[in-house]
Amino acid sequence: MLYVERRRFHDETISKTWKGVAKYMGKEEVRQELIALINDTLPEIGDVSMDANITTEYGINSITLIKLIVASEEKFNVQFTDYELSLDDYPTFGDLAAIINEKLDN
Amino acid sequence: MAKKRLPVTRTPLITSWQWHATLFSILSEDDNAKKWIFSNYIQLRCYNIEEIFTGDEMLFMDIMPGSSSLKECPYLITSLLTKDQITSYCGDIVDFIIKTIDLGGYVYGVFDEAKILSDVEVDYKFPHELFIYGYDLEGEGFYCGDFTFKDKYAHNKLTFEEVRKGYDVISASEDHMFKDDYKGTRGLYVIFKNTDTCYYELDTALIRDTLREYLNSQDTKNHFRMMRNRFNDTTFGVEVYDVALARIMKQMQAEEPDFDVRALHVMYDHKVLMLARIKYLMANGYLNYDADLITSYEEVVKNMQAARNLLIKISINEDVSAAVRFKDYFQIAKEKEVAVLLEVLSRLDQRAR
Repeated sequence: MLYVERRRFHDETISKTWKGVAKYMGKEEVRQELIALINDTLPEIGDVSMDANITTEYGINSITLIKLIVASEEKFNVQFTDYELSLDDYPTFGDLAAIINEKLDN
Repeated sequence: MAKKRLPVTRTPLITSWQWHATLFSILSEDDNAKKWIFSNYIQLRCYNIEEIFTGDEMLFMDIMPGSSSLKECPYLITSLLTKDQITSYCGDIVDFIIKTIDLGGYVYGVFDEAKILSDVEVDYKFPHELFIYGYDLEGEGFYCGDFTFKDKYAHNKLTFEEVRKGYDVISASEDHMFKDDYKGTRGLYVIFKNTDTCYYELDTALIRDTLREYLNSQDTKNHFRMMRNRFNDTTFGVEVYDVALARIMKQMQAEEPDFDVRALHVMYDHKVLMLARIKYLMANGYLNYDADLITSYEEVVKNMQAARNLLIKISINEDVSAAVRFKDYFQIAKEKEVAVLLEVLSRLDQRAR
């Protein structure tokens, strides 16, 4: 097996395992993982507060929010409907974490 | 005075393009201005143009009266000043803007935002409209509204030097604002709010005529021939749904799909404003209150928003298999909108008899 293939196999295995694990995450774990994801996806944000307004405090717009939602779908193995992509629905990152928790519970 | 900020709303009813964001920043919350706003902004139009910055073909969509709204709205007094006038009257652009703000005037014009955005010298320009509504003498900065700096419409502070640099380098051929006015020169708009007296009542005759034209996709450019008679091949009214959809579906099939979401931002804002108009007409006795009609139009807004957001999502995750859903949202929005607006028009027509 070539290195790149081994790497891909490793990544995919980890990814599948992670997606299985995500289902059993507690709220605090989801919060921590979401903060890590925000830092990865939107590094310009810096320190993340779950309670701050994401548009006024961090300048999040429709595009950056949907970028984060796409990354969250992958990370937590959840699916957002097309009606759940609106900036108005997520005044704070805490609201985004709440929806992810809700999806993981179902 | 060390600091002065003219009144602007932080949440304009619509933004879409800089001219709308500017007008709605100044007038969104004014009761007199609402009479003009809700009488207008009904007809949609679109045509292909060459994108100013990239040279690519883009579908330009706008809600009429478009960029001329800043000059034609009776609740604004707008003066067009050429660069020569500004230099002659004031000498320095920074002094000119401060004096204008002291008199209660907002400043709007094309500035090179590449010079503003970049800390180092760059060999390209990014001419874009900037809306200036205040200054801070001690901080040596202007309060501005713009889409560029935060990738969405937002208020920012720019230094005097940034604004001076951005103003100085724009030539007449790069001043697309004056070019769009067929004036062929370089200049700025000075805008005063003029809302103390009711100069314009809500015009239900105009609303009915324009709704009819919108629903029939009627070519309405001839209404404006007294001002301009150079026209692109334009689509009007609900047919813009078909043109925008056809273009996006074609882009979905491309090897490397590259979507321009701006047309959908405009269409979404058009629905937001139409919903506000329907509620306004009901609240002010021009239509009987009907919760079902409001709920039905809220579905239009919701589906147009879903279509726009889904297109953004597809452009990020490149999952073009979602094209089918995109098309559905678009078509649901169109069908529901036509049904609601036909009903609104019929009720307004009945009242006029």
